[in-house]
Formats: sequence, C-alpha cells, structure tokens
Amino acid sequence: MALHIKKMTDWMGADVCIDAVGCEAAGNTMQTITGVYTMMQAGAATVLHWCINSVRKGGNVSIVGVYGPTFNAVPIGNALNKGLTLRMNQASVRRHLPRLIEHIRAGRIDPKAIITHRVPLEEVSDAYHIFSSKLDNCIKTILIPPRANEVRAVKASTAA
Amino acid sequence: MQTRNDIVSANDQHDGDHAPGEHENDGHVGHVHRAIAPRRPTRAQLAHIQGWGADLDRKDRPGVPMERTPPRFINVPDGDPAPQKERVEVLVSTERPGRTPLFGTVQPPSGLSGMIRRQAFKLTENDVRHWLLLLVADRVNMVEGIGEDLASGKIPNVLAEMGIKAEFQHNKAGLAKKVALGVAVVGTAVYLMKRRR
Repeated sequence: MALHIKKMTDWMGADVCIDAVGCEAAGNTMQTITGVYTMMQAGAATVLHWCINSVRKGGNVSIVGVYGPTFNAVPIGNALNKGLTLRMNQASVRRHLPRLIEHIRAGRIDPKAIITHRVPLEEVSDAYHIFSSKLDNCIKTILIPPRANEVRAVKASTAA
Repeated sequence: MQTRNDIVSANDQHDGDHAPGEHENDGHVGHVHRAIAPRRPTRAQLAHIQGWGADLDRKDRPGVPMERTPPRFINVPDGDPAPQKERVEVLVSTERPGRTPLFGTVQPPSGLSGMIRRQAFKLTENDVRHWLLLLVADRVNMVEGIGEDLASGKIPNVLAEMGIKAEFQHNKAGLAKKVALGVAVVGTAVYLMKRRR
C-alpha cells in the first residue's frame, strides 16, 4: 500500500493520511490474526500502519477511526524518523453539533440516506449479525421498539 | 510536479488571503505567484459543489472561543448540580479522586465476574492487566448469564441469539462453510477420542 501511494505521489508520499477505519481493519493477514482472532493486540491497526508508512516526511496523520484499550502494533519508529504530526480525537459532538444541524436544516446533508435497515426490536439478534458481518449491504440499522406506532408527538413543556 | 498555471493565475485574484498592501505596485495580469505547489482553489471555482462554502469563516466558527452564541443558560443555576446518589456499588478508577458524576446502576458487579472486576479496578488504566482482567470478567459474565437463564428454567437458544436466521437469509454460502467447519472439528475430536480408547 505504501508503495502504491508513493508511486501515485511522485515518490514523496501523501501530505496527509487519514485513518478513518479504526481497530477492525481488514487488509493485512498478520494484523487481523493477532488483533481480531487471537486478540494479542486490540484490533487490527492495519490502516494506521499504512498511514504512517505512506505519508511524506513531515506530513500529518489524522486518526478518526476508533481504537480500544490495551495496545496495538504501530510503527512509531517510522513516525519519529519521518517527523510526523499525529492528531486524533473522538468526535467533539458538543462542538460540532450546532453547525451540523444547521447543515441538515438547510438540506446540504441528508442523514436518512445512510439508513439501510429498519428492524423491529424482536429481531435484534439477526440485526446484530447482519451489521457485524456486513451482510445485505447494511450500513446503518434502526431498531423499532414494539409500541412505536403508539407514540404521539408531545409538545415540550418548560413547566418543571 | 509542474505548477498548475491555471490555478495559480486564477488564485492571483485577491481572495482575502493577502496581507493588505502586499501587491500594491504589481500589475495583476500575468503575475505568477511564488507558489511552488498549487494554491487552494477559490470559492468561485468550487461553486459547482453543492453546499461548498456553507461553513463560516474559520475565525467565526462555533468551535473557536466563541463557542456559545446564543449563550446556553439564560438563568445560570448556582453551584454544582446535585451529585447522583450511590445506591449500588460503583467501581471507580484509581487515577482520579472521587467518582464520576454519572454512573450506571443497572448491572452492579456481582458473582465471580464482579470479584474479577473489583480486582481489576485496584489497578490503574496504565496497567494492561486492568484491561485483561476486565475482558476475562466479561467472558465469565457471559457464562454466568447462561447459568442464570438455566436456573430460571429458560434454555437459551444460542444459535438464534447469534443470528442464524439472518445468516441463512443473506449468506447461505458462509453458513454452509461454518457448518462444514464445525462438523469437521467435531468429527476430528470424536475420531481422536475414539482412537485413544
């Protein structure tokens, strides 16, 4: 992967690499075996590995994919020797939510488009399996509680 | 990489990025910037993308010090909010004083998995054994859950809870592979045990 990116970028490497996948990445057998199946590390840090190796010297690596506790095998020596800047965070929801809601209200983002499955709560085990095995092109599943059809809109009241 | 001259010359129009007074004496036509890499395209060049430029200027964004406009509380309440009452056992981290302002009360630590969790929380998060003990406690908790189900008379349908219906509907090939693998493993085990006798 790093070779491919170096070829694409005139042998310099990318300016910025974004790891948007997180700890269950596919693509490298050893990482998947040690991270997902035998749990010797906390998930397969495949894409982070690729990011650090594909970025140019002095470049940035942004990590938005989620990783979990314990540790991962990551080439930190390469990051040091290339002078990289690694920045990462969980999404700061409180900070971004007002602006994102404005985008939705103006129609620039449509969050409903990613909902692919609407499943009643009784079939939640199947929904879990569909989501985790990525069957049936599942992207986002919505669970419908048993009495959802009896819900009425209630006006918000400020009387405490 | 060659300098993209069309972007460079288009970027030559003042888009607010130049310091005032920087290019007073130059004629604008045909002036090439000292840009070695292509400059960012202007808003006009990107107008065909729906929603481009909808975000505020960086210095006006809500994330930067002016985070709250309009301000959040109109009547600011006095003091700190009342702390949550501790009615069940809560395990706290040793890395911070006191407990978290909010904690879950639905599943207090109980049984063998509870003992393992209490032991885990005596270590800091820096210690990998803390996390490994919590993982072991989760596995033990799963077995305890099956035990509780059996004790109250309900036999858990393990295959249904793992979503076999969905696997059959959407991924018959995968299901066939898993069944074949299971049969092979069980068959080998049975054969080896019979051979030892």
